[in-house]
Amino acid sequence: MIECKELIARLRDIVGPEDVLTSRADCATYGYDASVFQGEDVIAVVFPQSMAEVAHVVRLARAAHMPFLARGTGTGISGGAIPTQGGLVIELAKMNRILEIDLANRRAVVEPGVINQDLKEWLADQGYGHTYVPDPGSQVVSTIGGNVANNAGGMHCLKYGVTTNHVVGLEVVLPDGEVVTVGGMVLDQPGCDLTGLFVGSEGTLGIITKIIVRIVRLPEIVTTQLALFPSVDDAANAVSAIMTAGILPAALELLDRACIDVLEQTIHIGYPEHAGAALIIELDGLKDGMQRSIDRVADICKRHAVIEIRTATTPEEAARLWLSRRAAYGALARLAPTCYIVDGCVPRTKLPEALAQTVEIGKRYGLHVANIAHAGDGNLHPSIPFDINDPEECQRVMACGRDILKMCADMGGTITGEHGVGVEKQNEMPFVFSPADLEVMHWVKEVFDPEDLCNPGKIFPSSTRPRFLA
Amino acid sequence: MKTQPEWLASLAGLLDVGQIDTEPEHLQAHAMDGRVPRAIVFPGDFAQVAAVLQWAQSEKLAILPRGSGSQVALGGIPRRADLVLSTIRLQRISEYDAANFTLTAEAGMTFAAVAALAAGNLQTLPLQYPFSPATLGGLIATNAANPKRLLYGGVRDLLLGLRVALPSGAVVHFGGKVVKNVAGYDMAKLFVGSLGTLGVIVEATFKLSALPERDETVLAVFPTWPQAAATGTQVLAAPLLPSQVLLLNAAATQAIMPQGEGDDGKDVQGIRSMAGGVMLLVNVEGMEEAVERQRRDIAQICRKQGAATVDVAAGELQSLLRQRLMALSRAGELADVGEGSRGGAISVRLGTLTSRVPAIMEAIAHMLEPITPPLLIGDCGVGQVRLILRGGGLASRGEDKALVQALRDLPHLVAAEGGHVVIEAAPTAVKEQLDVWGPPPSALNLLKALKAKFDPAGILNPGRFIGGL
Repeated sequence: MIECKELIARLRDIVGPEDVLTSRADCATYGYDASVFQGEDVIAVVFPQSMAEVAHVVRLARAAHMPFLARGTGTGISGGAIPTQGGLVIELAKMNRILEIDLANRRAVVEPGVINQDLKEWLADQGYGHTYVPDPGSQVVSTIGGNVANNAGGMHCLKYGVTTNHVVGLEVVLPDGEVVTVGGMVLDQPGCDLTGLFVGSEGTLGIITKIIVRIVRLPEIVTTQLALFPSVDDAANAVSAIMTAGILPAALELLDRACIDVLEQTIHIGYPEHAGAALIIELDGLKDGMQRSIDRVADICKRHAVIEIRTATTPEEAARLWLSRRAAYGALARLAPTCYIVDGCVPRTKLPEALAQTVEIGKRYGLHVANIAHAGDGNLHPSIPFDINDPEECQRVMACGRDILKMCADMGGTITGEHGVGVEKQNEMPFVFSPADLEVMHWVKEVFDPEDLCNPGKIFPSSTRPRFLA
Repeated sequence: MKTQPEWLASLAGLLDVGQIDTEPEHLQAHAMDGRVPRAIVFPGDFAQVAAVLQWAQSEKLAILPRGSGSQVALGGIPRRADLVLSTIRLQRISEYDAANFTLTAEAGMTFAAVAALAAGNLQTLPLQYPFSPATLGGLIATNAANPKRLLYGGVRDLLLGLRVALPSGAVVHFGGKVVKNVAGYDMAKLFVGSLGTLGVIVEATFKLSALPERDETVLAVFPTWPQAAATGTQVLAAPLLPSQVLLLNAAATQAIMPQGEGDDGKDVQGIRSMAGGVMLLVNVEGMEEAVERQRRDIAQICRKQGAATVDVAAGELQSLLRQRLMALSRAGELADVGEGSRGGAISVRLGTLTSRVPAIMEAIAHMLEPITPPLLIGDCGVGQVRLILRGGGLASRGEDKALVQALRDLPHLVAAEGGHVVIEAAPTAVKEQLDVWGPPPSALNLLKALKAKFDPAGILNPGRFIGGL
């Protein structure tokens, strides 16, 4: 058994003394992410700058029988990156190089600490005409490694898929310190799709040290429409009709009346008073036929009681149409110190009912619920402003969230569409998995991490609950 | 070890007598690489599949899962083959949610049946040509190549949920019906390409698409290989959205031409042929305006590069061509394309970088021309090359030392870029002399450990998978 002092000394040998933090204040800082939970005290936070350093640190942690976990920029909101069992935080923010771009084969190779938006901007700056598609709401701050660990979504998932549809290869340091590569630049490596297994495994099967992603050509044309409807039902029905007509929008974002009210109060968005829902519709692709698609969408909206449709003809106009969606979370944040965002998902046609239910469930718990939804794929984000310093309110908010997720599961959906299970929803896993399902899923954890040291205490149901933010 | 009558008797406790076939002729027909099974079983529901697996595990009998058998040649020689477990009675639609574009169906349902069902709602599962006889379970277990992968993705991208029966006797469910789902591990991915070695897939949920307004294939025939190859690259570099870009060598071009083609330049059903011509085939689909524009642009690129002829196929003619392409890719069904014997056919799937497809095709041709002329189909948008060596002509392919060595050497061609070679069909005598999966991957130990969890007694397809698993 390795003593704490010796462990720290060895960590300093591996990454250099300036890349090991041990003070209480520093360690405490890395005990939080963007969730409402906080972790336990850790021994140290280390900043490796290479795969070899990561492997070395992992081997050392293993020898000390010490839990460890990887962290990007801590933007996760399900508590996946907080150290609930103490140990070591392996912070990957310094592994932030874009290693290679292969334009002919449409690939980018990046280290896990590269910020999502930075890759997009770098590609844009080079004038490659290509981009990395996944655009989670956190993209300006979140790392690609974190996106991969969570199988992050975003607003373009129905047409373009989620992160896993854009990751073709990984280099991973396994919990025993061995390094493995899965997938590669070439598609469809024979055998089980282990790349797909690692994506969304929330850092519990190993630490990702290199990622090969697909980059795709930017669409020839992107069009934006804002449609205001009397009700969420009308908007959601219009969405279904658009899909059934064979049109596949790139994005379909829905805001309910509660959101519109807040946006009116904060930024005077100026939507008509009787607008019960706002729908932003983005179409992209080749320019041929695009006008017909725009016209068909407008027609369909009219057949669903639309109050008003605005179509952007310039990028500035498009930005104005997107304003309500982009400003929504910020506006909600003004209602209370903290906003709890639930991440349910239902089959698209069930969305109106689900959204109405979230408001009802909120009322049962004396809570106000505003809804932002990725209307195309049924991913809803009921947002609940609350005071995190009120323990009783915290319990009500968590119970409300739990009931909402049960409702989503019962409607044939799932308990998390893009934010991950982390610690937040580990005890809701039985809403969608039987004990047998969970047992078999746990076999995978046992194979990769028999000693349960790699981000332990996440995903699977647990009797220990994490602490709320103090 | 129980005697046959004994274990048949205990098996009869799990299934009706009509679900167990021990007819010697049928058993012979279901032999795999010379290993003749002792029975074929036809479970009728998920519980029966699980019961058979659990029973087989306790009796230490090897199970070879089978759908329609269209890819049954894939894999190494089985170490044992006691029972073939057929999924053909699992053909129910569990849920077709057309409004939400998802389909949940039992694993024994054929792709053709799914395509017909979806077409009734102007929808499609864009994973195979609509007449594919493969079962859903088979497509997943073999990670079957999608001819339209360039536009729609592969099995892994369209599969939303999975139900699997395990040797432990459990039937477990993963994923769901929604596109965005990050609850727990993406277990379905584990089963994609697993060749039935971790469990038997009994049900799958797929994401559907709308049927495109138009679906057309541009066929350009070039006098020389370099012209065709360069055109393929140009088409992919253009701001277009094809669903497929295929490069066929002269032999493959010849093979897919509709029967009865005449001499150089004679029209046959709207596709003009040319002796020794090399074909580039580009599929475009979607809205009418977009397809027209792409068709024009592609034809222009082809002519600029010196295409001898540029034709467009849609409807029945396109369907005929696709059937011939599919038949060509399945080494066991080449009787349609003018070769007599089925025996001895070899089909290889190589993965490489999209930019290297033409070069790899050239290298393979160079390696194999002296031995036996290859048919080559390169999927330039995806990075896959299909090599076909037709049957007949050789008494036993296994005796051809030069051929076997050439097959062993294929992985070297794609090693530098991390590519792979899988011999998807070959005579047993050839399989005995090489590893059809090529060099084992870096993650082999993980695959072994996973196998030990899911199938501790090693009853599922023993010896047929990577690393002899």
